[in-house]
Amino acid sequence: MIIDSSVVLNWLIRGGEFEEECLKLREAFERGSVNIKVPETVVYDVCRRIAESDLPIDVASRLAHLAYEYLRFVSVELEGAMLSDIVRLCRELGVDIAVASCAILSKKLDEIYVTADRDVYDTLTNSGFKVTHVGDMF
Amino acid sequence: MAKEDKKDVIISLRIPERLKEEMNKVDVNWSEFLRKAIEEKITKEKMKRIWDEIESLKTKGV
Repeated sequence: MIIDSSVVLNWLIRGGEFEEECLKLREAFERGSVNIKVPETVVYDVCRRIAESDLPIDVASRLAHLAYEYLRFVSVELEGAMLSDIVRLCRELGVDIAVASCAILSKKLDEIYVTADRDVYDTLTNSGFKVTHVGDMF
Repeated sequence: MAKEDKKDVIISLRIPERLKEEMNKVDVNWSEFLRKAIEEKITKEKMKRIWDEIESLKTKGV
């Protein structure tokens, strides 16, 4: 499955609406019950969101480093042709580049896209993408 | 860019004789299988270590 920044941020920062479900998903991944991938754009999107969070600066700085170290084991490099489709999807649906990357990667690999963001879920489902909301998984 | 180290080394492991006999009965490239299994285990352990540090950091951050 492909997960987006909304799921990863629930792993990293406490208090998210679907924190419990996202952590259950990470545990399933650690047990080997599910396979998780993220497009490389998600790694930088997570760092951006950590930078914009209200975490203390030293914590945010270290967390960004650790998030990168963790996600690099599951990140997928995007090809030029995919970036072309990603930009097109950003324009057509008004989603950000990280979300569009997840959608395009999930389509290319024929894997389910999992998000913790209801708006993303609604937008992509209405456009025919194979998306699941993490809240509906557990 | 650093030159990738492609030198192979040989490792050996002790297993029960019965298991070795069973291994011989199936058509599996055991070297390749074990190489992959070791790589996967190393990745898992590295991720586990990073996650432990993330957990500890989360306690400080919130």
